[in-house]
Amino acid sequence: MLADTLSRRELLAGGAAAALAFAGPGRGLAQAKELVANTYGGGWEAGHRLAIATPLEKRLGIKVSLVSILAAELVARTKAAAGGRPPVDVALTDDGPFLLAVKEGVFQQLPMDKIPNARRIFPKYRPQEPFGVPIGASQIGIAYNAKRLKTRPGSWADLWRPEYKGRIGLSTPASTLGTVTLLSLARLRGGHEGNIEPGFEAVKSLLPSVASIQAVPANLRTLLERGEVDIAPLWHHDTAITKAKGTGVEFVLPREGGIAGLAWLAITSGANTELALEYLNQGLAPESQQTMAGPPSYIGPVIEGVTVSEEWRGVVPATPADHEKLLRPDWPKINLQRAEWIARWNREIKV
Amino acid sequence: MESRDQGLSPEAGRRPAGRRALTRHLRLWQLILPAALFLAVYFVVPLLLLFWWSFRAPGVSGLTLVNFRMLLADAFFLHTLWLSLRLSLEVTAITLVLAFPLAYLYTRLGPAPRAAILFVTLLPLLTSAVVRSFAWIVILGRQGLVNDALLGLGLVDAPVRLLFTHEGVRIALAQVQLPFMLLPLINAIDQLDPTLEKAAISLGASQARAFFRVTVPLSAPGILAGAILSFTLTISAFITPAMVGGGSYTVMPTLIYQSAIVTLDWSTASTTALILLVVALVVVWGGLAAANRYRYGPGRA
Repeated sequence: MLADTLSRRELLAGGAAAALAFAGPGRGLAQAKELVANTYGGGWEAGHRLAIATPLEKRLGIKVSLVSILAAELVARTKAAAGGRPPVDVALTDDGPFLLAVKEGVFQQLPMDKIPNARRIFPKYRPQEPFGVPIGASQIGIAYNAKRLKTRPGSWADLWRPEYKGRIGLSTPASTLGTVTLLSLARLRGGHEGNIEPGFEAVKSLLPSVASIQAVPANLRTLLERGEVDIAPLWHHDTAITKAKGTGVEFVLPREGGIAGLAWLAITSGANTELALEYLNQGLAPESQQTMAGPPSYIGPVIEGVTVSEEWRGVVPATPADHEKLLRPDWPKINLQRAEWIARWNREIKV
Repeated sequence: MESRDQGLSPEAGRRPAGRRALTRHLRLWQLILPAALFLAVYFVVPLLLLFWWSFRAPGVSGLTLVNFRMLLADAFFLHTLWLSLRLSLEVTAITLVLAFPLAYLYTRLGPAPRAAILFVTLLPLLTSAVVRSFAWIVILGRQGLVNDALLGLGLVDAPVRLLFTHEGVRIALAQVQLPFMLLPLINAIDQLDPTLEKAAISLGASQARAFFRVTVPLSAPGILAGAILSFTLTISAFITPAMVGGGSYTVMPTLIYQSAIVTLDWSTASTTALILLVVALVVVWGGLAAANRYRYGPGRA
């Protein structure tokens, strides 16, 4: 499917380039009619289709293709394509991979004045450098099966409760979820981005309670639904999708506060900048943010004024107060040590 | 015994003579030219780029062996390499043991049961590795089909841990590699003359002896082809070990993914890949040498 999209796109791009050569500069919008953006599949893809791709197609009369590529893979593939045709025009990435990509120089510097909706972004989420805009805020908390567990967890420290023994699921730090989980457990014991030791100690002491550790966070959802694990640190939107299926899985934001994970939109070098800017601006439009905050994507808004229904209050972070509770990890610092954390986890953490 | 097999090998008496063979080879060479060019551009060049990355390191100008030294001195890396190797050899052995009787049976059945065997064996290849792995979670889990059956039959008192274990990965990989072993075996056994086995029996060999001393050695080309396919596909498998093995199950492709994709450390990634490639080639070469010896007898390989 991906190969089809790319070859079709290359044809289009080739045609557009040829047309441009005859027509002269300044007609990018009229010539190139297709924009390619990646998304994460599942709820993300559906949400981005509804909230960004379709409105953009209607308004500009273009075609927006969404391809499902996870953040880290997208960055690696964009790096591999450097100098050539990037895999997508608009890249969706998480904090860590986003900063890696900026460092690798594969994203364009953005003319922020061409993204008027960017001024709506919550001050705490505004980009430090103009290489991308946040499109969604997610929180990591504890997902648990309320049908199978008698006591409701309220804090990260509750994971050590004897009644959760053998029921916990974790992720490895090779995923953003796993990295943030490790950091959250480190914070619980006085650790931080510069001192992850308490995090490893915490995970080791938790191991007797852990049923399974996942390299693929999406597996945790399946395991929760199947009762293979009953409690796991998880993204709020993954939990919401599972909850909406009537599985009895609920989300709780630990007392210590959660950690915000931002999803960033950026424009790859060599992309169709004008169309891509339209995509970014559309993604930050109030009605798009409102659509994404609901089913089927449950992506937390990054702008003020979005409301969520009663059922999802506290699960999907929306109000300024919700966002106030969330910490932003120091990703530049994490990225420098991430390889080390992953290698150490490979060696030391086994169930 | 082995030397007698030689006269029966399919290649015997088929070699065309002298000049005709030469012109024929020339024409064959022209035929493979597009494939050779394709491989050069899309396989050899990327492979050389891979070599290039593994001899580079940040902060070092020129070429260096530092990546190799670092990895080969790391006990965890060597342990992972050994696990990958062991897993691939085990999966190959399992598929051979499962596929050989199936292939033997296949050649002695009519068209309808033959189609059924092929359909059932090839079916897993029609789904993606991700979907297949999710199915294994349902089958192997604590609340899965296997454990439900074992508990229901009273064979075990508590659920057996299969999911996220070495055993689980072995089962899942053996299933998907089975067709790669089965098809070359069917091809090899189908070409054998069934009267050979009957002749061995009529000369006093037991059925088992005839099978193991006549049919099995004569199927060596099929066994070898199937084993190479199964081994190389297993040692490079990434999704199944990640999903069925879980986050505590690290094989070489896991390490390559982590450094190539997650941390963008391409030097470490390509060095890991290169070491894996060399080890896999050595095993395949060893297998070829051993198979030749087995087939043609000692001293003639």
